[in-house]
Amino acid sequence: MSIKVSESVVDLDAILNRLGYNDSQINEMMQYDVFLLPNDLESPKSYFVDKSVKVKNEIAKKLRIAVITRQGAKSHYQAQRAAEIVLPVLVFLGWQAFDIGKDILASMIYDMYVRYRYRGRVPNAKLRCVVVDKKRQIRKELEAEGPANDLAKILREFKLAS
Amino acid sequence: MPKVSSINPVRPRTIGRLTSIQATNLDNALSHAKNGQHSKAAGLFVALASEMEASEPDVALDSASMRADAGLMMAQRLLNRNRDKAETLLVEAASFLEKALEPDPYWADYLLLRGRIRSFLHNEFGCRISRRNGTWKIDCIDVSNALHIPGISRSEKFDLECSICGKDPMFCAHIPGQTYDGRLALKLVKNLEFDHIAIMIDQIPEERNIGLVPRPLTDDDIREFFPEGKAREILSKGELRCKDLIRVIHQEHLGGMNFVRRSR
Repeated sequence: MSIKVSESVVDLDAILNRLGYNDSQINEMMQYDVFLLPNDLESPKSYFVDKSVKVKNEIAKKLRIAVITRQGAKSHYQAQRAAEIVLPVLVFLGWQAFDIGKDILASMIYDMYVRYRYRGRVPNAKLRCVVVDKKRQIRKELEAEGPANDLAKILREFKLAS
Repeated sequence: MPKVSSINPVRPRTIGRLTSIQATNLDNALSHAKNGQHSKAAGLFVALASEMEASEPDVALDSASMRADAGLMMAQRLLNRNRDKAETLLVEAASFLEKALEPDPYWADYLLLRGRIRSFLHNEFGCRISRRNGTWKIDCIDVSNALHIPGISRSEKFDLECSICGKDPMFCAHIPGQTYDGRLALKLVKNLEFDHIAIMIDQIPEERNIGLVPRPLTDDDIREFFPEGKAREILSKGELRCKDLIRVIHQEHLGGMNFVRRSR
């Protein structure tokens, strides 16, 4: 199991601006709780992991989620079709949103673990979440990878201190 | 595994265009089906299908759903008395549903009923493996799983389209798996590009209904793996079922693409 937490400063407005969002769109975006990102946001042709639609719909039950893409670009998907649970990159706007969101992700990972475990083998799970404190523009990034059942448990108990 | 008695008939997609008498007959048929009066229900479904066939084209095409219901009812009645006939009726019912799905391929009731019938057919009877040109080609994934043949993964890129609105499902309000006005929301794969296919030796394949199939069997294999009487029966018929093969794979501890005997 590997868990990495890092901290940096981020200018979310500048990133959205670079992707073609205008000021009014950016203001609107800041009302959301979570952004869902493709793997390679800055690339002209970016791809979402195939689980993105499911993740978006699950998170949308409890949080306001927006999908970020380069403006005007069509989105595409990619899959490995192996039972390695790779979740899309999620940016949570605020600590409360992250606390709610991580429990949703933990449940999803556990459900997928139950579905995919096979002949004693446990699927691997990978996730990358970023939490942005909108006021202080502090960004904390969590990268975690490991056996799906362990990751689900750790994520449920995880506290990302502000 | 679903029991055939738990598989319920469907209402026709064009129910809104039935006359009041036809609607009453449909209710009666469904009520008989619910009470286990399969013959009466089948009779009413057949009569309704005949009337629908004489209606406008869309309703006429939809009559196939009532033929499917009739077949399902008769299969439920016959399953314990004449299994061959019950199987034939269920195969036909699935074909009728295929036809009924032509005008709207995402009509949820038809898709779900077809899926239940197919799943029941495979679990109850097993798929047919026939001798062709002297060999027995196997394309049942359950046989591959019984032989512990590694699964495969596909690295692929694609676009997605919502079956309800045609938009990218990431940006539409329809939830895959849910039904909207009778239609099933699905993520349809478009513009699929394969990058590579990998054999999963240690990892777990995501999809277990696709994979590698073992080498075809020969008549000698049949004689070697099956008890003498059963082998003779299979060879004279020119057909075996995946269920029988899977049973023998477990009994004889066979494994891999080449049906190698494993040490016990």
